[in-house]
Amino acid sequence: MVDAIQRWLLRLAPIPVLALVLLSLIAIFFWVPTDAGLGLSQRIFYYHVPAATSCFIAFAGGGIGSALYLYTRRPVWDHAAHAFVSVGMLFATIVLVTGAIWARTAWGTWWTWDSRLTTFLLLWLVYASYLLLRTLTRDNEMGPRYAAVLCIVGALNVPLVMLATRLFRTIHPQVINNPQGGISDPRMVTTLMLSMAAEIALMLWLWALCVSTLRLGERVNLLSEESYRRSVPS
Amino acid sequence: MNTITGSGALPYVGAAYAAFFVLIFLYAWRLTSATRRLSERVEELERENRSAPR
Repeated sequence: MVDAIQRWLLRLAPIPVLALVLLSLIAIFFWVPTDAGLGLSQRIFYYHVPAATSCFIAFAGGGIGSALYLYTRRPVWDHAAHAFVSVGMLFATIVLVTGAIWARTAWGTWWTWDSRLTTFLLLWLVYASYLLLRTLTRDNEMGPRYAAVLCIVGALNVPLVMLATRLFRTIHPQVINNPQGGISDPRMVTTLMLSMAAEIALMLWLWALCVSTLRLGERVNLLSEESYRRSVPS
Repeated sequence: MNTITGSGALPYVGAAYAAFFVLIFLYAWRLTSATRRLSERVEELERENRSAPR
């Protein structure tokens, strides 16, 4: 199933992804009105929020893939989970960078130990340790199992990050599902939805590309072992 | 708080979008170059294994 989805995405995704990204940029810079309160800097939000959504989806996908790997022990699920974490980390880094830039304009500081920011940084660190673990246990057959457990622990942290603005005191804006201060202009909502579709599509295409690289890496390892066995007389 | 409003925020908006596209481009470039390199290696190893005596 993973193979079919990955091949389908690699073949069909590039053109729709490019079209969605271009459309979202046109909407952000030429169509959507400027926010009365936050001004120009609010436009960062149209790529910051979808990047956060994409990384949450990727980390959730990684958790599901890891659980399926632990249950079935089929490498295809391990590759799917590894690729989801790799792509999720890219989008999580984008969230941290764009968030820091926005914070400088709105709060006058690049970083503050707010509950949403702190829980998100913890999530980023958990998945950074996942990628480090994958690198360090490359030749260890238990590596994927340890990594799968860590990935599930990280995925369990995702709801905490998402609910941090409701559970704890925070200065982080709550723009979605917030009757007091969320976005209400239909053009803003449409632009956000367009950017959301563009980034989720981009995330899925990069995931397919990453799965393909991981599978090729595994094939190289298998062929190298075969080649070595043939070269050494038994 | 030392907030930045009006057209003063424009460089920050530009920097945020530039950071987004640079990170995406670097990641996609790293993946595509790794895929190309690994595909060549697979072909090379398959050739070697086919020609090697059993």
